[in-house]
Amino acid sequence: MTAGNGNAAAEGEIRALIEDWAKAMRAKDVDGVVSHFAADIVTFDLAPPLLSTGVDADGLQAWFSTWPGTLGYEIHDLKVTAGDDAAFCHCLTRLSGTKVDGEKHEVWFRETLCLRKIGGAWKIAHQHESVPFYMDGSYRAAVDLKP
Amino acid sequence: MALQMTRRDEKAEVRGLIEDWAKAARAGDIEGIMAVYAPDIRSFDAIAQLQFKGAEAYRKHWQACIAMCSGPMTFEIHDLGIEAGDGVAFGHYLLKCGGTGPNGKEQTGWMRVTVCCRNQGGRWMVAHEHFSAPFDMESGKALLGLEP
Repeated sequence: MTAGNGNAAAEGEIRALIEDWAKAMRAKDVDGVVSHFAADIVTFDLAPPLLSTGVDADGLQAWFSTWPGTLGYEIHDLKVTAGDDAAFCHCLTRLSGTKVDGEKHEVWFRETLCLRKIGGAWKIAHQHESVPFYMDGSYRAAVDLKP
Repeated sequence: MALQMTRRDEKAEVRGLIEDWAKAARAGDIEGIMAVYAPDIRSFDAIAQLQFKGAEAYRKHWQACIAMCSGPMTFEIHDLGIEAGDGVAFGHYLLKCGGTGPNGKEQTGWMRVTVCCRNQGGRWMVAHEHFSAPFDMESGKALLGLEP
């Protein structure tokens, strides 16, 4: 059997999953979001720590609570590469909204999602979200970049 | 009759590719680094810009990064986890990296890496990689000194 990295059916399933997951993020629906995670998901998040393992539903709920109004979570330029039971995708995500202190935020960040098929269903096994930083001596996080 | 590569074989091949890349990176060997990248690689690097599209753009960036350091660089891979299946694989690890900067001082820090590979014609290539450090929301600064 030759390497099958052009699995169109799997790609379609994963695109639908990501759309559903992003919709749950916008709706601040914790259960909807974590339903797409593997139990042992490995996360590299925008904020510390370096790495975390497992689902943190409470942490997600707490973060949702800091955005009282509409939360914008848009997936752009999504590319999916899928085999039969492992897949990866990357996109640029635009996060926007108003925080509890009234401050408006908009940030574009990079997103890599890696998936495994577990019990016949695709699950996000690894999530990596980040912004780059400036190497001009400031080490300032580049939260002001747009594609 | 074609033999089906077992999951274990695929993981071992991808691990070998990552180790070859790290060896080339430590030596500042641009050809060795570029040898693992697909021509259409999409890279999210830790610095400078949101993304690099394609091997040629990424090569220029690597050349600039190598030029920033004199002597051998540190690229130590920790906690590597790999998943592979049917010609598609991904890995994630913590990277201790650094080198001697233009001021002669040695600096190392920790980053996170995701590497995504596909097998084309029997050869594994990196189609996507993502390097980053987290940042502190209060100060707005990247945190390179966090230890695992």
